[in-house]
Amino acid sequence: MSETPADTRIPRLAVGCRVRTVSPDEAMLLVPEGALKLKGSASEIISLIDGQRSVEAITIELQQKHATTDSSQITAEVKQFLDKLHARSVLLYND
Amino acid sequence: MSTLTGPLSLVAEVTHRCPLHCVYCSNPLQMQSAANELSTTDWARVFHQASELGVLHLHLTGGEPLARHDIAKLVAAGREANLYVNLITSGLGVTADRMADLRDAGLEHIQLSLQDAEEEKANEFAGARAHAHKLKLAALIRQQDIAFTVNVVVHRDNLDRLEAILALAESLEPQRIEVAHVQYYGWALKNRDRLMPTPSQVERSVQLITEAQSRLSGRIQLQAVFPDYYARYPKPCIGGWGRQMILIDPAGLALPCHAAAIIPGMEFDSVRTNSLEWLWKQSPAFNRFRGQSWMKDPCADCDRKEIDFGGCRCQAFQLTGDATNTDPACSLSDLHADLVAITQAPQPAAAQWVYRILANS
Repeated sequence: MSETPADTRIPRLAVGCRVRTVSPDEAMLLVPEGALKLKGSASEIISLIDGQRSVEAITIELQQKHATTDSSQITAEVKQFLDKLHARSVLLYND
Repeated sequence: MSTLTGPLSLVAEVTHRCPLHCVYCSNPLQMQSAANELSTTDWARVFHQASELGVLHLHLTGGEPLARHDIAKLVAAGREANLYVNLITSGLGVTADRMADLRDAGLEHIQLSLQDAEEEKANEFAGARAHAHKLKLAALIRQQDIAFTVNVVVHRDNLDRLEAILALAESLEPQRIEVAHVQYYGWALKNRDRLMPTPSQVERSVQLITEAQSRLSGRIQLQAVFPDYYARYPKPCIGGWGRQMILIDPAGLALPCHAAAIIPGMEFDSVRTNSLEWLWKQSPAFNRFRGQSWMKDPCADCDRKEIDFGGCRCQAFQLTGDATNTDPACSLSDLHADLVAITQAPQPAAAQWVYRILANS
């Protein structure tokens, strides 16, 4: 497996964005003029965005929780989801 | 027929009182007086019912919502109901203390309107000396933990300054900028001859906005509303009649859209005597243009009927005299050519503005 440097950036939701829980595995991300439905892994990932955990910490936590799932798949899922939110300006990084 | 889902947003017109008199205000010409306004507890009840129905966003608007002394209580009531609370304001009536109260009440998003980049023109369109105050207010908003949108309505008399307007909006450092071409309802329809942009202005605005979107990308989200008189297909007005949005007017009447009262024969029921669930699911007003049984040709056989629902019912009535006709903004409408003619009509010699005045009603 190739070594990629640990992603130590700390994600946080932008001002005016918050999560509204609908059920244990479903949540809505409410943003100024819209909402994103978060199901399954998206809902799990967002619950770990607290302005404290780094991208790496979030990834490791999910890998431990889902020990039977391919860990590189979880790394990719986390990255993809955070990139999507960042592109929409609803997620920012504290370095 | 598809099953009816709940509304996603609640537009709460908490008052029609307003210190501004904007020439393109979307409020109805017949406005509700202060004496008829719902109480704080009425609104709180409505917010809880909305949340139970599935509403996510509460838009507190007016008139000027800050004209209500209980506005911070209304914000808090919205948050208690677990709604996302947005305040749409001219900014008049905001002080540092009041801003802090709104934040403490849980306000999440504030939309501040600008009328122009030039103070004199901005005040002319608003019918009030408001521009300088708005610019000062932006700094107050940014100090709070509240998402900030700058909203600008554009039309023939300010589109030639669009670059300056975008620069001014950007300098206020919001998270979002909305540039909306005037929609011709209410007071804007009264002023249509003077507000209607020229085709070249519209073309240039599309180009400037597209450039600004790529320049601001990742920093400020820029959203634009283009004028449907220039469109090929009509807008799916408010996401379709009775499909996504419910509007409650200051007196408590439930409307499917801002302009619905202009359609003859419409009767609206009130949150004073009915639950929001009944109003949404059962009331005649919300069922009037649901589904497709009301549609005529060319809508009835059109493969876009589930995309734009025949366009805007209010505009269909305003421009054709029959609310069940195809919206003339659609190129398939028999009357589309008349609409195009309006956009190409020679400009009238300095028509006088008709200002939005509550006393008119």
